[in-house]
Formats: sequence, C-alpha cells, structure tokens
Amino acid sequence: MRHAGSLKLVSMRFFYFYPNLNYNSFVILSRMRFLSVFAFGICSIANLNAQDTLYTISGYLLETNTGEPVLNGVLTGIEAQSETVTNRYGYYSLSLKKGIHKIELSAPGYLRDTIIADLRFSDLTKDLYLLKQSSRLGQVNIVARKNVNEVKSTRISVLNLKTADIRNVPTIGGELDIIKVAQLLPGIQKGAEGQSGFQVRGGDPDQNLILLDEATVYNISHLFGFFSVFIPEAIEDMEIYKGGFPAEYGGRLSSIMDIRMRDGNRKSFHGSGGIGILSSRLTFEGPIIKDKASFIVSARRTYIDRVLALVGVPLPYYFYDMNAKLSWQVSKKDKLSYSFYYGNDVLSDNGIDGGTDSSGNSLNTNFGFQLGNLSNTLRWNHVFNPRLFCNTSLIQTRFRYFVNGEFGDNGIFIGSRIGDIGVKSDFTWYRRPKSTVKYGVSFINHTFKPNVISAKGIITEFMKNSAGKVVNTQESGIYLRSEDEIKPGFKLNYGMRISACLTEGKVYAGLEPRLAAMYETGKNSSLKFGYARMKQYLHLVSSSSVSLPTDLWYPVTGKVKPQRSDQWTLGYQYALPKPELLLSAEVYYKTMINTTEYREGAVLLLNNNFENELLQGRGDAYGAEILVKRDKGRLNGWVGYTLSWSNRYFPQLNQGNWFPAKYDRRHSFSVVGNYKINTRWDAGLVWVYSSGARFTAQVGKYFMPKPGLSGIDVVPVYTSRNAVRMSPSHRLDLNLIRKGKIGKNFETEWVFSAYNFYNRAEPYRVRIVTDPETLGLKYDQPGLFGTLISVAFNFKF
Amino acid sequence: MKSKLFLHIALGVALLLLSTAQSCRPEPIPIKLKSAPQKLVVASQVIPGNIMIIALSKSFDALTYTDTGASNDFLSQILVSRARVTIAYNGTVDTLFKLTDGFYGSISSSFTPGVNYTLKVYDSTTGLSAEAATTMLPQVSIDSAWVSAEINSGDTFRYLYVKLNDPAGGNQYMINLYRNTDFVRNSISNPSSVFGVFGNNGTRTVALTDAVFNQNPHTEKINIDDFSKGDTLTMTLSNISSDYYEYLVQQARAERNGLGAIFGEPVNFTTNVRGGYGFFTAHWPTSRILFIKD
Repeated sequence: MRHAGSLKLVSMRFFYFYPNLNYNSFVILSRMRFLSVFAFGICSIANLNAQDTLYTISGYLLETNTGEPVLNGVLTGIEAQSETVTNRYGYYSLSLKKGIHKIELSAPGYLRDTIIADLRFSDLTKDLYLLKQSSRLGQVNIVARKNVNEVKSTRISVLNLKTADIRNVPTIGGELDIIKVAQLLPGIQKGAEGQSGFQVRGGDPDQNLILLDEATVYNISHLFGFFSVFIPEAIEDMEIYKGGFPAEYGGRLSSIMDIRMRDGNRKSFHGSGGIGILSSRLTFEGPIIKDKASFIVSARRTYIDRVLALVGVPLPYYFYDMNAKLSWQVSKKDKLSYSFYYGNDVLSDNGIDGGTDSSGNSLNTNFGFQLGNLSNTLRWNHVFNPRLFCNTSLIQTRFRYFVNGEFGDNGIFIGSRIGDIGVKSDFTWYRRPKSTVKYGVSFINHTFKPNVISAKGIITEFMKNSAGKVVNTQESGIYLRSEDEIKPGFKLNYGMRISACLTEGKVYAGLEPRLAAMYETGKNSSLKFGYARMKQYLHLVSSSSVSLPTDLWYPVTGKVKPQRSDQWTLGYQYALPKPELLLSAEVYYKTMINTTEYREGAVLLLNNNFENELLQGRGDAYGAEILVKRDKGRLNGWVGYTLSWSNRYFPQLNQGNWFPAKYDRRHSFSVVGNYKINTRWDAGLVWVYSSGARFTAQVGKYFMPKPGLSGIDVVPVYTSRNAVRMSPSHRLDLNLIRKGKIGKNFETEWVFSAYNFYNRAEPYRVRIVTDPETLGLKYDQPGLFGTLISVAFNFKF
Repeated sequence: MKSKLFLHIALGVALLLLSTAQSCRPEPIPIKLKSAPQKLVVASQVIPGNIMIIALSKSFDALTYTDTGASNDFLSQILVSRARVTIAYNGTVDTLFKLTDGFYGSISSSFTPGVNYTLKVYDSTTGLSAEAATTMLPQVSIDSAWVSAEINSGDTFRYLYVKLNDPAGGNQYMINLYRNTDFVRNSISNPSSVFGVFGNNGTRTVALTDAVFNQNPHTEKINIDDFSKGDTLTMTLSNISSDYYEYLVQQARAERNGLGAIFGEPVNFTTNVRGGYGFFTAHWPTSRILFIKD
C-alpha cells in the first residue's frame, strides 16, 4: 500500500512511553496528567517534523469490562483536528500525519479517555478500550455522540437510542421497550392503541424498515402493539433514520431502524433479567474463549394467560422471544458473529365442548393462531488493510402466521408466510483524513406465500382450499457514497444507490441519489441539508381502518408498481455548552408516488386476488420538528415537538380529491424526563400530546330501496375521506425506580410504573352509541387502555 | 431480612395495584359531528306495461335512527309526500303522480331502448331538489333457467342456472331473485311496504359483467341454499348500465363488510343523482318463475 516503504523501515510498530504498563493502564493515560502534558509536548514537536506522510491507527473500540464493541464512538486526533467514528461494528480507522498523536476517545455513556499513538514509523493496528459509566450515574443519552460531534457531522434526521441510556423511561409493565421510546421522538408517530404500526414523517406504516442485526423484522410487536419483540438486555442500540438516508440503506420510503444486538461479555459470565406482572425475561452472557469469543442468550415469556386466570378471565394467549448471539474474534483481521431471533404470539384455545346437535353432528369449537418472526444472521468482518473494512452478512428471515378454527365438523386453516434469504457486503474505505468512502452490494430473495387456505366440512362450499399463490422476487442494490470535508466547516456526504427488483419476469430498477451537507455557522452550531430518494419494492396489505400483525406483505408485481419518495430536509443544530443542551430543528418536505390504498369496500381477508383491490396514488408530507435534549445531570431527558401535514391523492378515492392521510396529526409534543433523586431512587416521566388521528365518520344515513323494490338497505353517509379529526390524545406515564444491591455483585431494581396515569382515553375510532341519559344516540370515541399500574423487579449479576 | 421485607411489601402492593388497574378503563370522549346535509334519495323501477315507479325519501341524521327498525312516524318524516316529479324524454315531459307517500308513478311514459330519460324532483315541503339522467338499455331475454340440487362432500347444495344470450358489445346484467311472487305483487300494489322490509328478506341481487364470460350464450350458476323445497323463485334479468353495475358491486362490497364495520373500508356509494343519493335507472327486466321441487 501507500506506506509500505515506511513499514519496512521500522521495527517498533507501536510505541508507548511506558511500554511496561499493561494495556488498560496505558490507554487510560489521561489519569496520569503529567504524562499527558509531557506527551502532548512531544506530539507537537513530532508533528512539526512530520511531512505529509500519513499513517493510520485502526482497530476496534471496545468496552473495557465486557470487551464488547463501542458503536459510534469518536476518536479525535486533537492536534490534527481530525476525527473518526467507529462504525456499526465498532471498527475505527484514523489517518494522521506521521508523528506522535494525542487521541481522545469518547462515546456517550463512557468515560472519556485519551491515548498517545506513535505514528512516526508505520500504521498501527490496535484495539482500544473505553470504560462504561456506571449506570448509577443515571445518565440518559438519546444521541450516541457528543452534542458537538453531532452538530458537526453531516448526519441529519438521525437519532440514536442506546438501551443502557433509556432504561428509566416509563413504559408499560416497567419493561424497557426501545420501539415505544422511539415513538416519543419528533417525527415518529405511533399508531392507534392496539395497533402495531407507526408512522414516520407522514409515511405509511409499511414504509419503515426495521433491521435486527441486518435481518428484516416484519412484525415488531406482540399483543397488538403492546410490547415490541426486542428484549432490552439483548439490544445494544438503535439508529433511526427519518431522512437524509445514507446510500447503504434502502428498501423503504420513510424510515430505517437499525437495531444491533449485543455481542455478550467476552471477559466474564453475567446474568440479568426482570420479573414483571405480565412477563419475565432472563439473559446470560459470557466468554467462550476469554477475550476472543462470547455468547449472549436472552429469553422472555409473558404469562398474561396465567395472571388473568387468577382474576377469572380466561385468555389462552402468550408470547415469547429468544435472542442469541455468538461472536468470535478469529484474528486481528477477522471476526465472525452469528445472531438469532425467534418469537411467537400464540393463542391456543383448547376448545369448548358443545356436545352434538340433533343429527349427531359435533358442536365442539376451538380456535387459535400463531404469528412470529425468525431471523438468522451470519456476519464476517474482515479488515483488508487498516483503511479498508468489510462486512459480509448472510441473512435469513421469516415471518409467518396462521389461524385455525374448528366448529363441529367444519374446520379452517389460514396461513401466510414471507421468507427472505439475502447476502450483503459493505466496504468502508477510509480514503484519507476527513474522507471516507462506503460501497457495497446486497441481494435478497423474497418468497411470499399469502393466504394458504385449508378447509373441511360444509364450509368448503364457501371457502375453497387454496395453496396460496407463491411469489418470488429478487431485490438487489449497489451503492457508493463518500463523506468529505470540502473545507473547514463544510462537509458533504454524497452518493448513489441503484436498486432493482425482479418480479414475475418484470424488472423494476431505479437510481436513488443521496446527499447530505453540513455547514458550520458557529463554534457549536451548524446548518444541514439532506436529500434522499428511496424506493420500496413491497407493500403491506392492510385495511386503512385497522393495522394488524396479520396484515399481508406483498411484493411489487406486473400490476403493482414500486413506491418512491423524494425527501428534502433542512436542519439547524446548536450545542449549548451550559447547560449541556442540544437543540435540533428541522423542516422537511417529502413526496411519495405509488403509495397504496384499497378500494372502498375492499375485502382483503382470504382474498387471493387482492391485487385487484389495490390502488396506487401519491402523497406528500411536510412539517417541522424541534428537539431539545439534555444528556447529563440529575435532571435529563428531552422535549420534542412536531408540526406536520400528510396528504394523499388517489383518482379512485374521495371523488378524485386530495385527502388527509389517516395519521395526519397536526401537533405532537412529548416530554421525557428523568430525575435522579438520590443514589437509590430515580424517577421518570413521560407526557405526550398529539392531535387526533383522522377518521371517516358516519354523519348520515338513508334508506335505499333494493333493486326491484323488494326491501331496503340502510346506507350510511360518510364524510369525505379522513375528514374528521378525533379529539387530541394525551397521556402521562410515571416511573419510580429503587435500586439496590445484594451482596457484592447482585444488583437489583424495583420499577413501579403507571401508564396513562390520569386514565384518559386515547381515541382510536368514532362510534355511535346509545346515550344512557337521554336514550338517544350520540357519538363517542373510546380508548383501549386506561391506567395500568405495574411493578417489575430487575436484576443483574 | 430488610430486603425480604421490602420484597413482600412490594409484591403486596403490586397485587393491590393490579386489581385497581383492572377497574380503570378510560371513559370514552364525547365528540360532536356536523350532520351531513339532508338530500333526496331516489330509486326507480320499470315494470312491464310502461310503468315507472320512483321511490323518493330523504336522508337523515346518523343519530336519529337505531338500525332496529323504522316506526311509521319516522317513515312519515322521511318519505317524500309533496313532490313534483317529472321525466323528460324525446321532448316530452311527463309528470308522475303520487301512488302513496314516497312513491310516484307514470303509466303514460313511453319506454324505448336507446332513449335518454331525465328525472327532476322538487320536494315542496323541504325545498330539496334532485336531478338524474339515464338511458334505457334493450331487454335481454332469458334463454332458459332451471334449479338443480347437487351433492358435494356429502352435503346437498341447491343452484339456479340462468342461460342468457349476451348481445355484442360490453354488457352488464342484474339478476334479482325473489322467494315468492306474493311479495313482488305486494310491492307493486302497495309500494310503501318496501320500507317495512329491512335487510335480507330472501331476495337477492347478482350483478354480472360479460367481461368475465367465457362463452355465448352464457350460463350463470347461483347458489340458492337460502331457498327451500316448495318455494317459488321469481327471477328477473335486466340489462343495466356500467354505472349502475359499479353501484351494485359497491353495494355488494359494503354488504360483505357490514356496511362499513370496523374492519371494513367505509364506502361512499356512487350516485347518478345530482343533489341527492340513490340511483335512477330505466332497465327493463324479463322474468321467470320457478318452483323448487327438490
């Protein structure tokens, strides 16, 4: 490579001033201040003598006590004013001029550290370590980078949640739910209660791509949206892209949620878990080969069925999840990891013995369903040279559900399945200081098998058996992007993704240009711009009225065209030094074409020909988002506000007029606060307000004589599509956490939670009911969940 | 010891709170919605003998009717009793006379295939008016029709077969089935009885398009398990416009979805009535009467 000659000349690849110190002692050199001052002086001198020759320090940034990678950690060459960020695998590469450099290591939730790197003679490959802050400090970070670093990056419309940092945020059942917390951030709008979908910047629920260790998770919730499928102890963090999408991401129009599982502790065995009223979970982790290979296994099961049985409510329903991961640092250049997820929702009614009718036919009934995800990811990280990193992943994922029912001699089984097998390779080339190039390819084979129907008995007359139409599609992408500092204070991140999909002999392909720019407007502030075109080659076939986990995923076909969006974002960020606040304000405008809706009166269930029910139109969404957050101090958290519009146009709907999208909520406001009362007690609060969702309401009726004047139908008269806005919803959730310790290593935590503390209905529809006072009819808006109080016990050893 | 005590207290509190939470269900939030403006509702039927019957009623507030049945008082409020109803065609304007509240008839109009008919309605009580136009399509004859009982998986199913000649061009058809002829006679002799019959009364409408026909003549197979041995089945076949066909398809979709139940998509019915609801058609049915023997 470029500096091969230099490498031959040196015998000492890495020089520390105190080579006899062990590694951990050494990298925490900042504690030895006098040495730092001395080293700094040497560094400066060395740099004066350095020519333009560049050397690279590279390796993994790891957590000191667990050996797990630190994602999005920042390494800053202090004198060189050059920095790099660890990638989503914890790898870093920082090229600096020949010399001795003082490098600062930082990541939120970790103690800042400084090392001295000798790059006088050659490149340097070394894993570096950062010490995690004690969770007792109660830090909350919603962005995994320091505020100033965030301000000075080209990242726009990106948020990061680390599970370790949001543990005090109140959630249902006292169990951390990273998806629920994400829905408290500006621009991310949760669906109605009891529904699993969510919307990002005016998009539809199917326009969000959720990745767990790079495998697509098609169904992210249990119990109709009550819980997400992610076990908090197994998750490291989640990056959420709402706009300004980097070229390596594609496949959905509105958001990418990139969730990474933890590797597990490489150094010692540990366990953690929680016991709640509704579910319990347990995690074990530890080394397989110390400092080389590790495992983590997490499992969770709910016992709602058992709890409700205690109060006399029969509900034969439960869900469970299991996460596992193996990681093996094969060599300095190679790392293998394998991730696994399996989860299911199960309703298993053992049936009612209904005896027999007068003809001797059985009247027994039973009913059940199962739905769940399975994913496997095998990853290989390879370092070709200090400045070229590659990840290759083999991915398999499957989502399926089936419903079975029996009534007497009649029975029916309905099933649907989507399975993916894919491979992707992503290369990161740290071309030169302040310039990084990423490129890669991906390929996924989707197999769709919707609406498999098997019936028996007289019901077969009305419900024909169907093997389901199997559809295979191949989706591929190739991308190239570069992030460059054009001049001090001005950075560009530009790239292109080319995506394609082969379906039923037809090829859809398109260019997806991406651009993000950052211009520093001051020491701690910047103006940002982002543009991204996204294409989407599959749709979620669901009713506009209700989004259910059993909705069907279906690919583009000869008739159903891919969706496409173009989004422009303009943002301003300001890092206020004291108090340490990050202010972020963004405005966005997004256009979407070929979005899907369904014909009025569409029947989707058991419909093998639902393509005929699909309509394609277009939409736009625009708005403004403000986020003010504080990461440090006894009182921390964030305040978010969103002002937004979202509209749709379908020639066949609403008499060809534009109409508001179902989740066109004008205002959304959220407050998330954590307060450290003392060393044993923490308190958390969430208050969220949102304008009501849209609804097509019944505002009249008429009697319509049947054809032939043989009777009448009572026909409802509706408003124009989504013309009614329901009442605003607001909710207060509270948490009180008591921390303790049993013995030396067993940490405990009691979490007392109140969801919807003041018991306000969150309207999900408008209905007509009888007024008990006047006995006349009236409109009202019911909510599903009132105050839910829970206690959970968490532990860690 | 202290920890154990705390554990017991916490679990006790948890159970107490759980039982409290059971009783906490949020009160629904009231909301006021503006009613849709009242409009005239039009339906029409041509009866052999050049008789056109127009049914006229008014729409009403969604909160004034409980879906459990309409009282005579309520019917008297919504059936249009003082209206001027005219049908214009080929330069002629016929004024329909009132048969009974909500029903107006013409026995002098000439109904000819291919002629455009324009209906105008003015309700002098409310000041509401509506207008609609349609073209009469030629009659289509029934080649043959028969009922057959067939055994499938050990169960017996009853079918009606209708064979018809499909004229050239794109055509749509409506087949109406009635369980007995008395009902048909009653609805003609006492039209307002129509408004006393809600929901499925044994009559059925099937809409067809020749876009899916494989051969000509076409034979349509209709399951009639809701008819019983000994029933009289009256069947009519009408050649209808594509607009009316779409309307019937919409209606069938809405019925399958429970007219906009929670899981269904709300359906706003199309109409060819300007300023009103319903559909003005001038199709001319042909009929057969069959006796179900098996």
